[in-house]
Amino acid sequence: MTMTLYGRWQTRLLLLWTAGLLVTLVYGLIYRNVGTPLTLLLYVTLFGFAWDALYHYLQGFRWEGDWPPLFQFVGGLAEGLLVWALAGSLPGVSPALTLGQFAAHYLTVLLVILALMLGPVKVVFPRWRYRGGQWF
Amino acid sequence: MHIKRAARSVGGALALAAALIGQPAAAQRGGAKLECSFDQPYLCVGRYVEVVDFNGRGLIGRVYGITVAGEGFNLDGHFIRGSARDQITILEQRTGEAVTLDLASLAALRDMGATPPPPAAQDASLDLLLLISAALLLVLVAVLLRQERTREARAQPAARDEEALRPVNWPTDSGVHSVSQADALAFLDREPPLPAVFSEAHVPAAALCETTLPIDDVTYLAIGGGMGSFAWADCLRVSGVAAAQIMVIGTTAHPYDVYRRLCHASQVSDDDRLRSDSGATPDNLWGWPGYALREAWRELQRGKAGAALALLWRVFAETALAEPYTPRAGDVFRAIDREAWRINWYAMRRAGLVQCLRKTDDGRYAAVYACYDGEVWSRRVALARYVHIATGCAGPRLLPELLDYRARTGDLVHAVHAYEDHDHVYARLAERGGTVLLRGRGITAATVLEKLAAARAHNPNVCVLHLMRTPLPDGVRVGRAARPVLHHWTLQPYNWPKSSFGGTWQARLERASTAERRCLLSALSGVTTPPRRAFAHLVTRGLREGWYQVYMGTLAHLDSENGMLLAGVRDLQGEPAALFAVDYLIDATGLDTEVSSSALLNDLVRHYALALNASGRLDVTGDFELTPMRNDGGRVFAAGAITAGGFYAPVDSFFGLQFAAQRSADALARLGAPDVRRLDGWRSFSQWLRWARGEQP
Repeated sequence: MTMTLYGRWQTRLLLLWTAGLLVTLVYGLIYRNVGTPLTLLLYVTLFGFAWDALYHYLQGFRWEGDWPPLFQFVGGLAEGLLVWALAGSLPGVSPALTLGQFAAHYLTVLLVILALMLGPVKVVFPRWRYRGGQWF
Repeated sequence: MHIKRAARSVGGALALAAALIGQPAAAQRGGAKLECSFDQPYLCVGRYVEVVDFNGRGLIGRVYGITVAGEGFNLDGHFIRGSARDQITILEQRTGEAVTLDLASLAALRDMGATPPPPAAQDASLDLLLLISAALLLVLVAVLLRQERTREARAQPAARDEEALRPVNWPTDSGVHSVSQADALAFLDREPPLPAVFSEAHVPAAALCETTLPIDDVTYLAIGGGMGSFAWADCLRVSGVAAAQIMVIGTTAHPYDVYRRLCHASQVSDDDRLRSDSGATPDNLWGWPGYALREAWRELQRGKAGAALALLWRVFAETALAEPYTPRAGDVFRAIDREAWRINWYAMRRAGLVQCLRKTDDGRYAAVYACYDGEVWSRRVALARYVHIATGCAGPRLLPELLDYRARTGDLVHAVHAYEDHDHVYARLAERGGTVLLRGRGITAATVLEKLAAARAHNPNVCVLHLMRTPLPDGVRVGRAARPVLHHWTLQPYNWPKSSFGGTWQARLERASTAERRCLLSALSGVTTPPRRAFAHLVTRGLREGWYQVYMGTLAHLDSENGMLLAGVRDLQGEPAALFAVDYLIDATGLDTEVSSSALLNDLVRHYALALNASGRLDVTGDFELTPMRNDGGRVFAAGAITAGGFYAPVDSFFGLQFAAQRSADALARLGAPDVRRLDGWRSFSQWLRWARGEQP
């Protein structure tokens, strides 16, 4: 993947709030609490904008200017750990949320989005790969 | 073991081999005579070979013009899989002769999993994977796709019906012939001069009808029959244009013919891997599934889950923790064959060579071209409102020292270019040994070095002297990043940094001013070779053992004496420094993409005073349009190597050709060109489904 910073932000925003939202709603129904998963999705999005800026800076050290899917995955894990570490003090997150519940929801969202970025997104948006992940 | 055969084709013979592989016990009994008949489940095109002979005696012959669709074999009859290629020879024989299959060949075939499955079965399994992979979106798409089809049917009933009636069975390219550019030029030389109207800036359309030249009236015209035209035609077809509206004029039969010939000459056979990304898929406008996923799926079908996972790991971790995945040449060519069939490429293509292109006074363009119909040459005019030029390279770039030497001696044996056929060099080196002077340090030079090392495995008296113009102790640095270097070889997975295909470098280059772009391109360009562990090990070992040596200098002159080449070399200060006696010179110095090397482009630039960019190539806009060629509503686009040096660096790549095609198709859609609809969203997805199912766009 060879994202620009704007491409990262746009991709994150659109995928989290389409495919990510669907997954989140499903987990909300399973957990009988839609609010907490949705709030977590919002935090992941907001923190993600900062994470993306960091990734973009680090990407500048790579001659190829690319960001392998492996990095994307590992970065996603780090993002999840941060959100879980802060979850107890973030407003809107139920104190009853367990690590298992959070991990199941978060990993599903992460993997679905990564899988979409590696393939199907290009099918629906054929210019996405030519523009560093930017839609607009 | 000799087997009298009733197989009527290579496909039959291979099926016979496959049948025997499935019956090793019967094969080992030996002496059996099997009478079999086959109904040719596989494609055979080109020069028809009736019988093939497999044996284990080493490589004897090479080119056979046969093809078997499916796994294991490619258009030349070479095996495309496994390292056992050189252990198996395919010989051309006549009908009625015996097929000889020894046990070693059978074992090699079996090990390679070379049983060629019918194409239909392979496609079906691929489709299954694709459809499963897209399950998340399929539910939503089903209803919308039906609506889309209904709308399409309403919009273009005539065109769709006409295309639906066209035969879609293999082979689709039977009767398609390539022509020699030299023959076309010789024909044009024999023809009388063009009518005077062609010397005007705008040719009157009425005057064209008064000439004796037959006229072909189309909407879209692609000049050049290679990969650039293929990418453009593919994009137009997927965007809604019917095949009957598109004409492609080119000399080659298949879109990849020139590319493939250059690959073969530079020692990249069909079972070798290209220097190309998994997602650079000329047969697939969307880039997904990439070649890595397809290859992994095939490995999985063979029960090789480990190999499949290894391939997927490479695309997951490249370029940081794994060597970049690169597709096998044969896989790419087969995929292009499939897409060429799907978009009706062979109905669009005309065998010929364009002599000149002129604007007409009714907003169109007239291309005068030499046309070969399989029997006779004729000169015709193609009239079109939208033209695309992708004529590619003119041939190997022969440097002055080599040209001078050849002009003086006529020697084409000892001093060769890597993009010319030079197999004799490796054969003689393996037999007698010798010293080779190598120039260039790109991927082709690396491949040549590997081939020389392979010859050295047969004969330890092979030595390589690598002449480099400048030392490269460190890689170039731009911003926070630096390009790695190993023993003066610059390492980079592809011709350009990966993000210049569509990422940070590409965005920066597109935003940059002309002067800044020139600086950036200068920094990012350069001759590079992919970072591969095997190659790094080879160079390090060669330097350590002494059979591979690097000398910094430039070749000043070349002479011949007593069957040896005498290469006079200047040092870095330009002073005469050394005289090397070597057996061969191999120049791996690239291809000639100069505008001046093309008669058509030369004429175009002169006639319409076209501007060239800083690299001396055609100056195009962000839509790859040649703006000085605008003619009322008519537009001319260009792509490929002839536009190098512009805002998009990797124009001369599979990915770059698709990028250019997409940009020009978008421009045409904005312009309201007939039947070109912007490809996006559900329409894009529905077209992708058609691709996955192998249906016409």
